[in-house]
Amino acid sequence: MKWLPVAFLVALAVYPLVFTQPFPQHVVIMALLFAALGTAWNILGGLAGQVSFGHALYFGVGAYTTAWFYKAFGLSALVTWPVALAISTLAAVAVGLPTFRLRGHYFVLASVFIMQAVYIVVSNWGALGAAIGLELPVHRPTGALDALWHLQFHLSKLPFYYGALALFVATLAAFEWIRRSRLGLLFVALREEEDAARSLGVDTMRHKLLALIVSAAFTTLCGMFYAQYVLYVEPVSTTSLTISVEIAFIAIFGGVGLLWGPTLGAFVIIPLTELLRAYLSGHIGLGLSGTRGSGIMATLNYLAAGGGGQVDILLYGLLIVLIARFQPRGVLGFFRKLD
Amino acid sequence: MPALLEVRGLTRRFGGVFANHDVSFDVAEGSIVGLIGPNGAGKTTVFNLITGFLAPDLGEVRFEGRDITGKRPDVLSRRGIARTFQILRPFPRLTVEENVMVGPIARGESMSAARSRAHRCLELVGIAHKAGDLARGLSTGQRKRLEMARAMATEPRLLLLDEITGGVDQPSIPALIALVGKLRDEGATLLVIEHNMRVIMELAEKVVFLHLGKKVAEGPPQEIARHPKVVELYLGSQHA
Amino acid sequence: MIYAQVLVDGLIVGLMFALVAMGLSLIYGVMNIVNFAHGEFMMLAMYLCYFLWVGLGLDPIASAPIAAAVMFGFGVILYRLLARYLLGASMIAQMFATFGLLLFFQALANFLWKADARTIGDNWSTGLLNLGGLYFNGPEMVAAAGALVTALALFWFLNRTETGLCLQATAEDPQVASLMGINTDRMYALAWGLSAATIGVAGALASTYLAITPLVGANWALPAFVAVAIGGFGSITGAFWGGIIIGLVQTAGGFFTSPSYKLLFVYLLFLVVVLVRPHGLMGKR
Repeated sequence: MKWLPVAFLVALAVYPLVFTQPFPQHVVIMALLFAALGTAWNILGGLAGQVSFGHALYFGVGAYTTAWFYKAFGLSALVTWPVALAISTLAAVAVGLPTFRLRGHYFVLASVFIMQAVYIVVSNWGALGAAIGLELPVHRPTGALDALWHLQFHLSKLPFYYGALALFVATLAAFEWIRRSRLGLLFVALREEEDAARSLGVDTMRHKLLALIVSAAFTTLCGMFYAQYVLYVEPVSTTSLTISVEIAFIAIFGGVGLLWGPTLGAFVIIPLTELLRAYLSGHIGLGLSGTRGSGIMATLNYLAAGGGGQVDILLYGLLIVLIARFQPRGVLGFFRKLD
Repeated sequence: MPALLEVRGLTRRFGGVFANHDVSFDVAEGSIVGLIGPNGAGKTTVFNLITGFLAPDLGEVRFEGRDITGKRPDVLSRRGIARTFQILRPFPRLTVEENVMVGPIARGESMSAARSRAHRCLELVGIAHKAGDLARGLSTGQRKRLEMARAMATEPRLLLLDEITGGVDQPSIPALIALVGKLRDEGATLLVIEHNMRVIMELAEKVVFLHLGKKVAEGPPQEIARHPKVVELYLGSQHA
Repeated sequence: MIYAQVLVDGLIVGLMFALVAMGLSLIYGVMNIVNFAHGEFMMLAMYLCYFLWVGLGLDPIASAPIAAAVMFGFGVILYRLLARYLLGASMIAQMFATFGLLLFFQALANFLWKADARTIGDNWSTGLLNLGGLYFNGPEMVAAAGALVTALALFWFLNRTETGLCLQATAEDPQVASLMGINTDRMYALAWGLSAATIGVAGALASTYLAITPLVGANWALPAFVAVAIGGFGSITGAFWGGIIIGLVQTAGGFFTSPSYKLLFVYLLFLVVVLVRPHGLMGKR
């Protein structure tokens, strides 16, 4: 079984060379993005055991910072990533300090409320485009280097594909490295029995903050990628509760706390929703812009406009309920006796 | 020379009830002090107040001559105060060895240094053979030993043991008593909450008796065992 | 004078929030479950009243008892089919299960009835009352009054009837309660039924003036979560006062800044309360 992850990664590397149509490539790009998002979430939720339903906040930070700077100064994420990460870290500390003192339901709901508050601000802030959002200007690159500088690739999806793959692998590597490290052991200890950990000398507040900062950073990177890829950010598809829950659900669906759990979740759920949406909308092929959002959010938007009758949300909701009811440990729980 | 631990006037209310009311006593370095009293007497509350899990309404706690009242549990752990919990809390999905490594790692030791220290502590308490097993698979007696090993791995100067013989069958108790003695020999000063009077008699140099949150008596075990209030309230139908 | 109006409006919407929050708190208090789908009961009740109005010409106020009864049964069914299995599950599983329900019902409503907003036209409460310079919107005032009556009825039930006391005992300690001979399974079902029924009444009352869409319940329920969190999980009284406070804060905040920001103040209030008292104002856990 050990060869399975390697085979999977090789398959991913080779995939776009075999499937050269834009839509199949897009589906896997989104799956990779959400796998990275889920894995980033897993650092805080799986390892450190702090369940956040407000992670869309950091995704939005990445997306909006990138969009705003590009629109204002023509500087792509290649240049502005430090700013995004700085804001993300500040946000993480600002959220963590008051909320990590809370336990149980209070903490989870606090993460929701804070995110909703940010959502309200973002959807009313003129400079960020309010409810309509920001469109990143399309730039026709004059050459390969120019394309790289602007992170706009129109001839092929391959650069985005391998960018997403790199992001995915980096997030996996970060998760695994932390898990095996001394930090990871302390995270798990505070997850399992917080008071016992404290009595043994673990500064649980500091460690929770650390976990959140790392988790938020990778989530923000994903947000930056998203903005450059879709070239359109708006509140509902980036900073909403549904995105937060989708990220958390993908992480948990596959098996929380396990390295490959979120990946499994993403590669099951995202293709499902993308394909369903394509089927219902009757055409296949999504351009770089004009796709409002991704995954569940895109489907919601599309269907809110009247298409398809929301059957797939119905099924998604049903799926969540059934999983929670019958196998709360996630799909990988079927394969492992001990997690 | 001040005692290692000085508790002065500890008072803590919950709603209208005084869990602890003006509790004061000393724990001399190198000694074993027993803390006894019927259920609800406030013994675990004293532990929580000493170790920073609760802040007292009144009173203070001094350790090694310095005021530690209300300091955070993890800070106190690094200062040398360790405790076990009455309701055992192993880290269920970590191995036995990893459980004991948490303390040393939190104090900055490397993985390998922490691992060897963990093994020493596991051998001390006698469950080294279980090092690789998940903690949640242990029996009650083994869990108690794990609690002690975990605490010992933080190299405490003061160790607070909460009901270490609770739920343990009679034949296993002498071994536990011997273990506690070994902990003292390793250099720890012990404050022990116990229901089992036999353990107290064999181990403690001094006993503090609590009832309804107040200190009722304090002295050598033989004296306390004969104290009329103690006999009336606590020993009653128990055999010593 | 303007402040008095804000106060009145705040109290009126606060009473509605109070009713919604109490039902939420009831389930949490008894079963330790946060029901994310709580708002969907309200949405379903509103559609029910709408169709009763369209089909039978029934005034929503008159439909309120019907809505209560139907939603009660619905709540019990939901308990038997799903919630009872969540009792031992992790907090995450519970949250996902109820969130999944939220998605499911919203999508179902959208599928069956589309996203277009529907409104119930004039009914007997329509009108504007002017009392000494203060304006009272008829439907909202009647709704608030109805909410107050229902809340008091719930209080009375919980504190003055044997079943209600059994319910409280189950919330306090299910093991002891069952040792005392209380059928905890029935109590849980009752909690779900009551919770759905009370928010069903809120829905019926609100349908006299709110536009009915698949998302209406969710929009209403989220502040109620804040109300419950502020009042302290598990405390019905706390939920009641939490709702009032939320109503006042929301109205005042929206008035002094802009209506689109009114929820922001609610969330900020939560942060403030929880920083000072991590277990809410009257919470037991």
